[in-house]
Amino acid sequence: QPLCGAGSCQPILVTDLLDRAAKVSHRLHALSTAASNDLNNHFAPALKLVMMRPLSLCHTSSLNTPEDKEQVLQLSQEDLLTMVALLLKSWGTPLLYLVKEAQELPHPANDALLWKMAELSQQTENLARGIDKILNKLDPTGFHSFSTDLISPWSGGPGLEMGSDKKSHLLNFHFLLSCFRRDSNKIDSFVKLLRCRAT
Amino acid sequence: GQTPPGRPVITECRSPEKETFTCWWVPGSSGGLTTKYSLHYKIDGSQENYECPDYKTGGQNSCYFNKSYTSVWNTYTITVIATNNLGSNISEPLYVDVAYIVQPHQPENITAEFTTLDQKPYLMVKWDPPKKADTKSGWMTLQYELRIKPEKGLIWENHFAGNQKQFNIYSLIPGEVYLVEVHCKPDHGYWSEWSHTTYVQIPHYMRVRD
Repeated sequence: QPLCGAGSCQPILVTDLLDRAAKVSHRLHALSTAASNDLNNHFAPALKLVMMRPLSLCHTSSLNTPEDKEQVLQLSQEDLLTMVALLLKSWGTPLLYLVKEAQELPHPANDALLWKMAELSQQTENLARGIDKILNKLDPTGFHSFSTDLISPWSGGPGLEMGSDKKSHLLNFHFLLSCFRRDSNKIDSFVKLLRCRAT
Repeated sequence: GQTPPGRPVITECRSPEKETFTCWWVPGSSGGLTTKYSLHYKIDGSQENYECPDYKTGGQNSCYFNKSYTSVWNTYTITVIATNNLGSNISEPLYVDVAYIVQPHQPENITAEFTTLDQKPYLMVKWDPPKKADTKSGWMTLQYELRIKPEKGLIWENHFAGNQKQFNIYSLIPGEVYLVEVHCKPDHGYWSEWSHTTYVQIPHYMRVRD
């Protein structure tokens, strides 16, 4: 039952939805950067080098995203939105894994990391719903040029260690968070570009 | 006596508009011999090793990557090698993603105009984004901060302007000359340098109250 009287409810404009989406996408990247700093601040430089794993092993690398301005500007509004939706959906399960891992992470800042992971997980879900709403507004048929099986369901992915020792937990956490930080920067860039196009 | 070169250090990499970027290094000791420096890089997961495409544009001890050599959301693993007749030395690797090293150039065309609205005096400061930053398409989103102080004053007064390209300042001292500067920052990145200083004199004829 809408709060406002019959007929007086104004439909939310796509520009407003994109503006809200941009605020959340900005927050996602800023938060993942802050979490990365929390994590890295306690590592000796030598360990940081060891932790560097090629982000080409991230589970979302199979999604062929643009890599420079020209490529991004060539994508249609719908393709960009669909790409954002795919990226967000692909992070649902891994972020829950990071929330669980943060609780027992052998790291002095694990409390702060837990709070941040919980917010990242929730805000990613919120943004995914918002982007779906925008996509449905723009394309009620629901058919999008990208199919969702472009990203294989997450089951740990190639970049993760199989070990369960302390170091493996830290390495896996660091690797996944680095992947998310990068993807959240892509998402933020795409959403802000969409917002600009819409105004 | 003469020795192999000391270890160079890559000090910084910056991109002014998320489309190109430049890296700088500091040489180690030359070992008393003519020493040559070369920058090498790999891109995310590929084992192919490339050499710097342009040692000139960024000035001495630098490497400039133009658009065709720049890809965002990829990790560049960058090293610098110093070589002389007695041997060579390699820097620590620097891992760079262009998305995280954006530092725009300063804002441009800063104007400061004293004006009134409904007889209320104020200073209207306007500026343009740095030419190279594409804010029109949304590829770059910039935030601005302005600072002002009396010509003989020591302390700047800072005002955050968000995404606006104009800011109004009240409560200024009649007859005083003020210095105004603006800098900017991408959503995720580093503050630019402060712009050139703009000078403005507040006229005497009108009493400015708080």
